[in-house]
Amino acid sequence: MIPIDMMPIIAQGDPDVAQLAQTLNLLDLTKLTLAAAIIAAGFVTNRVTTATLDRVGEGQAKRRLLFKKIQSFTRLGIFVLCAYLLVMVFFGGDGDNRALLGLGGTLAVAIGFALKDTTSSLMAGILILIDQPFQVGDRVQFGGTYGEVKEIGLRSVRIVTLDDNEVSIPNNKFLTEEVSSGNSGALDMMVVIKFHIAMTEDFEKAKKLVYEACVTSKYVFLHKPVTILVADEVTPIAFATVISCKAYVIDVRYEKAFVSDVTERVKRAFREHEIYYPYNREYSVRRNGWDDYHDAKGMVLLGQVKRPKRGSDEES
Amino acid sequence: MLKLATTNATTRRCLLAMLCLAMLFITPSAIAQQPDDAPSSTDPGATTEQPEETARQRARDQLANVYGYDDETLGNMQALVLSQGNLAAQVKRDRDDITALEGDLTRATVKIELLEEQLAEPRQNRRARRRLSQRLGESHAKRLLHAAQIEADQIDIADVQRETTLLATYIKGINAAEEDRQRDALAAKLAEEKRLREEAERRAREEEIKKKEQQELDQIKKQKERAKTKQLETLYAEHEELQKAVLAKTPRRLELETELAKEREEKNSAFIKRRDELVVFVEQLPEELQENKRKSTVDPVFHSVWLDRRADRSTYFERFDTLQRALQTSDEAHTGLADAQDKLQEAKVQLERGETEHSTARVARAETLVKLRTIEAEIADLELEHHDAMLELKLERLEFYEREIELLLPYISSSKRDEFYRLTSDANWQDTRHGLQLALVRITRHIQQRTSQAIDILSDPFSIALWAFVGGLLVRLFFVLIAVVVARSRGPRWIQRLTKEALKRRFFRQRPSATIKGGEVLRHILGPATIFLGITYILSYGQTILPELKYVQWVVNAVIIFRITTVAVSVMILPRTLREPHKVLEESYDTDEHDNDGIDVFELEINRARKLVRSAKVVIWFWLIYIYIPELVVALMGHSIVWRVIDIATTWGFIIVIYSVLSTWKNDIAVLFERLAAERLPRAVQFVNENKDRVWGVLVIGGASLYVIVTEGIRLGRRYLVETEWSKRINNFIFRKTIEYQRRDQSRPDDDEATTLMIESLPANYKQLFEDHPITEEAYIVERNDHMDDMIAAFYQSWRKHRKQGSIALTGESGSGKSTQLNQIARQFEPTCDAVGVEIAVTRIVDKITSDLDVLEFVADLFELSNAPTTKHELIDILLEMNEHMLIIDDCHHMFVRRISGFAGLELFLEIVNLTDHKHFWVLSFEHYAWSYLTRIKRREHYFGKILPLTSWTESEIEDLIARRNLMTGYTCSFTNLVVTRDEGEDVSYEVIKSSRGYFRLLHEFCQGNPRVALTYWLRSLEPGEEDDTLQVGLFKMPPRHATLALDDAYWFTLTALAQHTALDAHEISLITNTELGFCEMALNYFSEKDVVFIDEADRARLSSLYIRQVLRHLIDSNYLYD
Repeated sequence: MIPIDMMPIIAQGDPDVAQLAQTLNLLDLTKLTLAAAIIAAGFVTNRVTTATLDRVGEGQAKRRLLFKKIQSFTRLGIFVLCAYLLVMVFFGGDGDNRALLGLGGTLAVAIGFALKDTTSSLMAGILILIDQPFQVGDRVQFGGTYGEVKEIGLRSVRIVTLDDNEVSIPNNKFLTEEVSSGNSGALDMMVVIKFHIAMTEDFEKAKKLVYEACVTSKYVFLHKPVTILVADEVTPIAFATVISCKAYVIDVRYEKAFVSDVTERVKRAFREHEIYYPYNREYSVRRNGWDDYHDAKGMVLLGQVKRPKRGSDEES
Repeated sequence: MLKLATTNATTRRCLLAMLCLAMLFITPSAIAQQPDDAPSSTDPGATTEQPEETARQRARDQLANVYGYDDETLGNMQALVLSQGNLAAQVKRDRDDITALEGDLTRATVKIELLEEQLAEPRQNRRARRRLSQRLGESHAKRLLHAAQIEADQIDIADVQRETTLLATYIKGINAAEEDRQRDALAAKLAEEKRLREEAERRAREEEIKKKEQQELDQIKKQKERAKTKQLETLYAEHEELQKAVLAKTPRRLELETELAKEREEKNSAFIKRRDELVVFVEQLPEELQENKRKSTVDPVFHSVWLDRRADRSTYFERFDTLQRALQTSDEAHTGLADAQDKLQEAKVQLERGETEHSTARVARAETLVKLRTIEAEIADLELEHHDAMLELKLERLEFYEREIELLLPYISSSKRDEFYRLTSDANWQDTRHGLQLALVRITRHIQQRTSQAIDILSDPFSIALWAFVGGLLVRLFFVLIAVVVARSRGPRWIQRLTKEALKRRFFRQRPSATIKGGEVLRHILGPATIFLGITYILSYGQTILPELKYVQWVVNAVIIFRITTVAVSVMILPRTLREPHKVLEESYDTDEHDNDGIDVFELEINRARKLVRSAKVVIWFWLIYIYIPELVVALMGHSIVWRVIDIATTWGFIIVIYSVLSTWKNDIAVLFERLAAERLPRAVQFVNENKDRVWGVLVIGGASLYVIVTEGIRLGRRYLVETEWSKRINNFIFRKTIEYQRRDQSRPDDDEATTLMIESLPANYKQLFEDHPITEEAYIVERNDHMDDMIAAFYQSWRKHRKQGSIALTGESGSGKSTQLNQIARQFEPTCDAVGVEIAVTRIVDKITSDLDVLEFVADLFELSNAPTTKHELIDILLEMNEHMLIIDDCHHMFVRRISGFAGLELFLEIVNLTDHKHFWVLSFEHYAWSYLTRIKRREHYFGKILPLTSWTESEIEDLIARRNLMTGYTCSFTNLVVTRDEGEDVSYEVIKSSRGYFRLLHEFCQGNPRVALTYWLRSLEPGEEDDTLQVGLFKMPPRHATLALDDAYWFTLTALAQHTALDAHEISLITNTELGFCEMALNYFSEKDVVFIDEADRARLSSLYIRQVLRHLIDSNYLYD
């Protein structure tokens, strides 16, 4: 290997072109065939390994992410091995390598400048694999993109968003910008589901219902705690009490299914127990008049309002 | 050229890189060892001399034995050279003969060819043909003769050449030896010449000094003759006398110097020679020696060493007295010198006051006196130095003899050993006395030497060496102090943290007690161990200037061994409440531990633990004495009868201690021995019990102890090394695969259909006995080792006394025997409860009871109330007024459904249990995964007085379960189908037993201790045998995997709901999983068809025991279920 600090010096050398051509012997068919064979073998090995690990991982859900991680490292290993073998095929002769090193240095500098972003991504990919700010299978938020990391490649990270779009983000972006990982390599992941109810509703009952809906969901992971938080909030249309449910889903793949399942059942339970969402009185007054807000004698009810008819606020 | 230069440069770079690498990998110690390992450069012939000598000897032997050379010839170089010449001439002659014979041979061959050609001519008549034939025969004979002669000559040449080679080797060896001899002679000659030259120089110098002194004497005489006064004359006369004395003593000093050096050298060289001989002798001693060989070879050498030691010891004191006298003489001489110097100074002062002839003469006389005293002091110093050196040499010899005696002691004969240690021998006691005196003298001398060294060092407080040592000591002390402080303050916390981390690992989690104990031992010995290492480090530094510190190191070693061992034993045996009472919260021990006789079991155990610690301390203490005291005696006095006496005393003391300790433990050891060996060695147990109280009973107890230790060691070894999960898995895998291959070879049908047909072909009455249902009949019940009945009984008895939290939750997997266990409890308590008027109610929940009203009705029915109360409080009031009941309720997990508001019934029921458990005793059972789920969403353990998880059945329990049922059927099960390799006529009984064990191990691994699954798969292993009452056991067949493969997640959620609730109908599953009812019905239908679930009369689905293991494994692997 040439020391990196020597590259520019070597690159500035003036190699003899004829000697280079003779030494390089680029048209050596044997070497080219061997190189092609190495690349093909690397490609096939990578595909076979990936497919095998995918298949094995699907059978063992708990170790699925581990196998994904192994895939990334295997890919890197295959790449490094192939690169080494290719270098050895072309540059591994016993003769004088100085001219070759000069050419190599020149090429390295030239390629480095021409593809500096790609090179930067390449190095960033290796750093990501080692530093592991996130792993394959993680749910990550990067800029405006949220989804599952499908692959940490040598050039880019591929993220599949929730609407099934595959987004490729160059690796070097992750070195400079912040990225958040929802599960950090674990199969389970915390999900926060918020429910808004009118401030005057029985929040204790609502809290109990939300908790029960959460712990009885088929997607909940009860190995970690379920937390319910209550807070008051001013929404653009009304004052509201927010009930936040923080729970872990058994597999990141069920994140949205979990949210949907809990929401669905909480809504059903709220309806059953007549717990109402925050509403704007103006809309109901405009629609139903003040009837609901007057008593039998026609006095305006202040503080003890009648319930609007079911569904009126939802329809409005 | 360029390429060559480049190659050279590359080679240089490579060499440089290799050199760098070599430097990286060569350690200082390796460098330090190089001079020792490499052949000695100062003795180049050392490595080649021995092979040459061997080759010469071998050549000599062969020449003498094979070629008949006599000793005279071999000793005569001229004769040897002559023989060499003769041999060369003989070779030459033989070669000439061969050349001539080869010519004859060629001619004969040609003649034969010609004759054969002539014979081949058809024109030749018979007579001519006969003649030709005759000549041809002659020629053939000649050719053969020539060829034989050539061969003989060649053999002769080879032999002569071999002899020549041997002769050359021998002559070369002789020449080399001669060269060595000449070289040695030359070296000796040179040394002698040098000595003579030095002697001559010394004599010349002596003569010169003598001459000078004589001149001075003459001058004094002249001055005396010229003296004008009587006083002056007297002065000169005195001066003359002094000068004469100087003249007399000057050569004496020189002679003495030479004599003493010679004596020292002689003694030293004699000792070195003796030492080398002894060292070689000891090194060549073999490991084992016959008694007669010991007597003939080792004993004489040992005796001579022994006598030498004795002689040196006795003369040591004479030498020591001489040294003391020389020391005194030296002191006197130096005092005289100092007086003379004072007189000289005084005379000089007088001279300075006024120079007169008288004062000048006085100064001259004083100077001569100083000279004389100086010579005398030098002579005294020389003698002192000589005696000191001789004493040192003697000490060195004595130390060497001590070492040699120690080395030779194991090799001497027993008679010699007896003689050496004979207590009745005066000489031995004399030796001992001398040894003791010598030890005292040595100690005194060491102390004097060290004191004078210390005074010397302290006399120069600014010495660099002193401050370098003090600095080094301070630095080391600093590091040691830091290490000790860190180890004592932070160490325990680190070890605690490490233990916690270890307990997170599965391996250590399975062995929590050992892990925690190990952590505690580490925590307690960390401090002493660090202090020990620190002291050792400091002492090793101190030993560089004070080697006697090694005895301090002994003491430190002994103390640390005692400390660490006792601490480790205490930690392992004593409970923490006794070891660290200030760190443990006060605990109130359960008084229920008293047994029927009112004996405090806890106190008994504590006393036993304390006694064990005390015993360990005593044994370690005497063991240290047994090791260190004889060692110390040897170090001080060498091997003698005192050592022998002390060694015997300490050995017997140690034996007596062991005897006493064992005698105090004999009853406990006997009990333990009985427990471990009662079945295998009943007679031995009886023997131990009968004889343990006799005087020699301790020997019996010792044997029993050994048995206990070995048995426990084997048990632990099997448990942690052989019977591990991994080894079982591997064995099972091999067992299964071997049988599968055999079946494949036999082309036997192995599909599910064939299995179903085989099960159907089994006798109906047999299958009926293996059906899954709770067991009530005594004959079927397996005695388990989990002591569940005892625990429940103990808890019930305790509850009857205290009346607190009388509720038990029994949890276990579906099919693990919960219902059977509850039936057994009911049966167990029936007589007791009848006696005290307690009613027992046993029931099983079949339908879901999830609403408050249902629960109230259920409890009312349970207590046989005529009208069900409408509120919880009303019910509780009624229950508290009723007589005491024992309520045993199975399948309490049916009181919840995993949906919103699905826990109300269970909450209410548990509340009722909790509020009435001081009055009534409740035993409830829950499905394992349901219980796990319920406790995760809300902690419910504190509702119950005791939670008892049912443990998995062991391999032997599973085997017993099947055997009991099998016994009832009257059928015999044969395992011969599982025997893999069988030769004709071979006894297969052992193989059958091995196979049956392998089968049950495999069955146990698969069913994971679940008896229901085991029974199901047992039926799948059977097929009708050749006889009517015989069933053949084969490898059980797994159900097809396609029933559960590639299922959608929704199906798995259905199975999860079933696993958590045990039994559900489609509607309940729909509510739980929040999926459409239609899908749930379709899924149940699919699973039912595939035998994954079975649907009962009430349309409730349950996981079938056929698939339960596979389904649960997948659900756990996928996070749907978690344990």
